[in-house]
Amino acid sequence: MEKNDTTQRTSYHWPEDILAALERGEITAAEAFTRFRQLESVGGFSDKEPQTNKEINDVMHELDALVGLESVKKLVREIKAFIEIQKRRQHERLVSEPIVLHMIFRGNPGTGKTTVARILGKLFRAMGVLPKGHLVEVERADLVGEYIGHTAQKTREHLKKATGGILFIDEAYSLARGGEKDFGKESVDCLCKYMEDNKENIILILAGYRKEMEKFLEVNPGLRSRFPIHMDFPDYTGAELLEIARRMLQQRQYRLAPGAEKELAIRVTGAGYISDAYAGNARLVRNLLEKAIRKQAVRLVSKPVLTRDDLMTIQYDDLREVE
Amino acid sequence: MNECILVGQPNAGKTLFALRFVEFLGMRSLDVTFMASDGMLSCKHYKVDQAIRELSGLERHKTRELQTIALQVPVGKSIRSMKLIDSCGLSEGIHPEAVIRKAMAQTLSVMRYAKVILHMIDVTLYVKRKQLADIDQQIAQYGQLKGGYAILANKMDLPNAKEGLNFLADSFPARPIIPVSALQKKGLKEVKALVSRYL
Repeated sequence: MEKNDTTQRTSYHWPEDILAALERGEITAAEAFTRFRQLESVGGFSDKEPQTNKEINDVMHELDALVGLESVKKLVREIKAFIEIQKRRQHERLVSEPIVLHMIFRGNPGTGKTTVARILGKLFRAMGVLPKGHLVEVERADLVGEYIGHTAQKTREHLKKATGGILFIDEAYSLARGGEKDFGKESVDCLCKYMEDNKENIILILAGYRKEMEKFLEVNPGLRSRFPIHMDFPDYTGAELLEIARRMLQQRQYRLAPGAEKELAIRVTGAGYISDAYAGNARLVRNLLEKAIRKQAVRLVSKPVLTRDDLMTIQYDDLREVE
Repeated sequence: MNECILVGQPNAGKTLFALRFVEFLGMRSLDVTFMASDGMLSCKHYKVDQAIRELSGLERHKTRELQTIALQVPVGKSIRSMKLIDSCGLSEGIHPEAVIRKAMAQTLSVMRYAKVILHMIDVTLYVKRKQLADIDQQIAQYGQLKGGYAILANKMDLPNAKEGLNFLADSFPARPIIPVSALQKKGLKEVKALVSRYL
């Protein structure tokens, strides 16, 4: 009787757990069938512990909270579904596709590439695709050496650091800079070799401007097939940049005075800003706000009496003074 | 490879039926691969008569591990490969012997991915008893989730077997039930026809 009570409380998330319980004499064969049916027909196999499910949901919420990036979010959901289904197929001993998740991110600076890469690291760790899920961010100078043999050594060093997580190579197209004699090619070869040998332990993301990345892939045709996932990060629209600015201020517990809000809207949606080479750049919005926060501090520092409201409000002049 | 597993309560006649089926396909001898609960594999060559003598018997749980026989089944004008897997009987309650419990876990494990599940039931169990054994009920419910599932009503050669068969037909109205007799080699053709559909 006591044993039955125990089994009623125990929940099994994997078929192997049910079989092990049967072997240990914790449940009868008939109960094992009931458990199998519950797993298979009612809710489908729950490959994940509840804690893992929560972790995955948290990561997806984090992704959904990003402003804009609808096409990126859609693609991430597709990747998540693909991984889940392949894992379920493996459990059912069905032929499953190899999970190759190396990616190419194309977009201007400040369009969310690194942020999304960090979220993907967390997601892949939660889903059990990567053991650690951390992000190592590098650029050409970190990978390419100055003399023969130096490049492979530097590249391998960073690859080892990134093992278990994601190696994010910013402005990856610059690895093709300098032609045949450049050591960048040696770095690319080293990357390809390592990702083949450690396919279950590392994910590489090559990031850079759209046009430059296209040229980079043309010069290295073998890369295209090795990096099956391509994500385009479009520039943020004016409205999206304004929303990003609002959220950034909210996180820092600042608010805009009515005049300042108007000025910010003009700054981020105005023709002058949008026609800039860095149009749609969330990083510039952040810099703009940080400068305005500093201007506000200078304005307030000499005042003898300050209210809570004063400390929180960015005035029109604070923004106007930012170049 | 197409896997077809024979499951059921101990002493339902699974092993004898498997060997009769091999014989029915025209084989005089066979290779049986034994898979112990620790995953250890061993193989032995038998003449069919010898296999019947050595592998089947009247005692409960004579089969204590998975016994796989590779078969070539003629389907129309072609020949299809299949593995016929004889399994440890699934008894009610918690079995006191760890070896048997492990063997039962093996049976369930194979049932999860087998293409065909042949559920063997001793009809004489249901001549007097008018309530389905929980284990038979559970096997049937699980089996119906899979594509290829059928009940083999064995021991039709025994007296009053028809009564038990009728009870099974009433209990499982939507499932295919094939009356067989492993002892008298009855129903083998029908089973082959059913299995061929899934190969």
